[in-house]
Amino acid sequence: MIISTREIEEHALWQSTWSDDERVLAHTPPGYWYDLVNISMVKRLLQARDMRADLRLRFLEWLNGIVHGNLSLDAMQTVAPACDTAMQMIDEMQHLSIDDKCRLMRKWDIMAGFCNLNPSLIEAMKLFRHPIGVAA
Amino acid sequence: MANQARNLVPIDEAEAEDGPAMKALPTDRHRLFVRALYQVKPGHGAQVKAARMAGWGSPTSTPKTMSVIASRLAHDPRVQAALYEEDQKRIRATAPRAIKALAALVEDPKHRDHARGIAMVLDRLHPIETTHKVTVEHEASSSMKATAEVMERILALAARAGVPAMIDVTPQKEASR
Repeated sequence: MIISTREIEEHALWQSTWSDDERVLAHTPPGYWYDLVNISMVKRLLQARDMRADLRLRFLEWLNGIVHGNLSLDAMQTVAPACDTAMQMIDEMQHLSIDDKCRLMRKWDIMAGFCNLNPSLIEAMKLFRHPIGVAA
Repeated sequence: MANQARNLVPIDEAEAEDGPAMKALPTDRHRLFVRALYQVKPGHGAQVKAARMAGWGSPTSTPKTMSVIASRLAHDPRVQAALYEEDQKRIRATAPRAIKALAALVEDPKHRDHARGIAMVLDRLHPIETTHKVTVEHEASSSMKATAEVMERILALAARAGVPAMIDVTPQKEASR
């Protein structure tokens, strides 16, 4: 695949229009996007008061285990619980296979939608262990 | 020998009502065997004699046969239960006589067991005070331990994740204040 100079220039021009938050999102490995969305979902589920203790413990253990690699403890703590709309979006994805879900969650506009609903996702990305692409 | 055994004095029917274990015996001959055991002289051959008194065996039964019959009867769990029941009844029935004898012992200063009799009575009227130190160790059941561990883990993980534990661990009294 040959990328022409014109295409590179256009791409660079497009990148120059990014805001700081968009740059953070663009430079965070997409694999972490889904993790952050899942963290927000689990935190929302943990708000249920009538949850059994064993189930609550499983969710909390999952939250504890999701801290790995660039996803720091601070980042996990920063993620706010998902709102109703975000939960509806997640529910819509439930019938998909895990491959399709991952493929969907790697789409820029999908993650941007979650970030617009829950700005704490971007804030969490800024707290990754090796912040990438944050504008000086 | 066998003919002689058949001429034994018949056992008196008990006037008192039989207990459940006696009633549970399969035949009257079993009940007679139990009663006969209290009438024969204790010692070797007592069970065989009791069996003969109760009508077990035949005039031609050999001593060996009677021994087997008596042994089987004596080891029958139903017979043993009936014997235990009769033991209890007879011990209770003997109590008034024992008390009377003890009273005579206490009243007779010349009797060699006079002092022992007095001690027995006093022990029962004014028992020596004894202090028992009982150490009670309470060990929480595994489920209780598990529950406490789960709660502790939830609180720790919730604090780590920065989410509320959402579990009210406040004691009831504290919460009502």
